[in-house]
Amino acid sequence: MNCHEIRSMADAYVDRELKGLEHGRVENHVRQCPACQQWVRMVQRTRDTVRTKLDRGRAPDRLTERIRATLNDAPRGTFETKG
Amino acid sequence: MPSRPRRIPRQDEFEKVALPLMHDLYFAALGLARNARDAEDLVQEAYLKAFRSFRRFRPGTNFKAWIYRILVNSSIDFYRRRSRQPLISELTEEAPAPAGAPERHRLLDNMEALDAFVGDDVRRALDELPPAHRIVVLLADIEGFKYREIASILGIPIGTVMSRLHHARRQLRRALWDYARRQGYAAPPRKERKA
Ligand SMILES: [Zn+2]
Repeated sequence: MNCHEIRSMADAYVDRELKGLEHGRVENHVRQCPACQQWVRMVQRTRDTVRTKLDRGRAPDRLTERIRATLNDAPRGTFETKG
Repeated sequence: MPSRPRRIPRQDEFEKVALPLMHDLYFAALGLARNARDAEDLVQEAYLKAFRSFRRFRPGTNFKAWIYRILVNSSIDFYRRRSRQPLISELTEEAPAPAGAPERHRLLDNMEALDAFVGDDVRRALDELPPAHRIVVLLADIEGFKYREIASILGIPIGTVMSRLHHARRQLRRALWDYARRQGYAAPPRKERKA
């Protein structure tokens, strides 16, 4: 695999979503290729930035009550019965 | 399907498993809807649909992924009904690969710039992504779903999840980078180099 292919797989690699064999191939390449190593680090840090910095916030409090009310009002005859 | 007794699910049973996910679902809905009012409507609708088909949920499988799929489908219906469709066909169709030169990314040389970002910067960069890309980032990086779960939630092949995430993160890096440069977080660009 060349560097271009490795980089296109880097996201799945850092997410540990590659199958064993593929994961091993990428790992071997990355170990020997400083440029791809840096690339992988960058992908990882981008992901971690999103994970750690993004403020998820909360839904407005009234939403719980809105949902409960909707469920209360759900006509009981309309439940799907398909198994 | 196994033959389970067919009965109307009890609301308290449903609420017990479903309501704790409300804030997460709302957050994802914001990514789908991009305005708070629509996001609320979407979540509400998803809950109603989920409740109505709760008996089809197989205990022991991933409830969170199941209800997210309902949320995504609701958002598709929702915007189809309103025939405002900027986002939705995009969610399930192949999103175009981002245009632009092959990436030789200056963030490589300025990775520490990422440390300077705050949540709002990241949010802004995410908002710039096409919806089909934004949602995979939200599902993977925020919700922590596995690729196969994302594939099932969005109804797309795993390979598509993989390539969308790859493109999405690239776009995100670009957006973050541009932003960092504008804010002065990052050093000025080096001499442009063609990849
Ligand atoms: Zn390489």
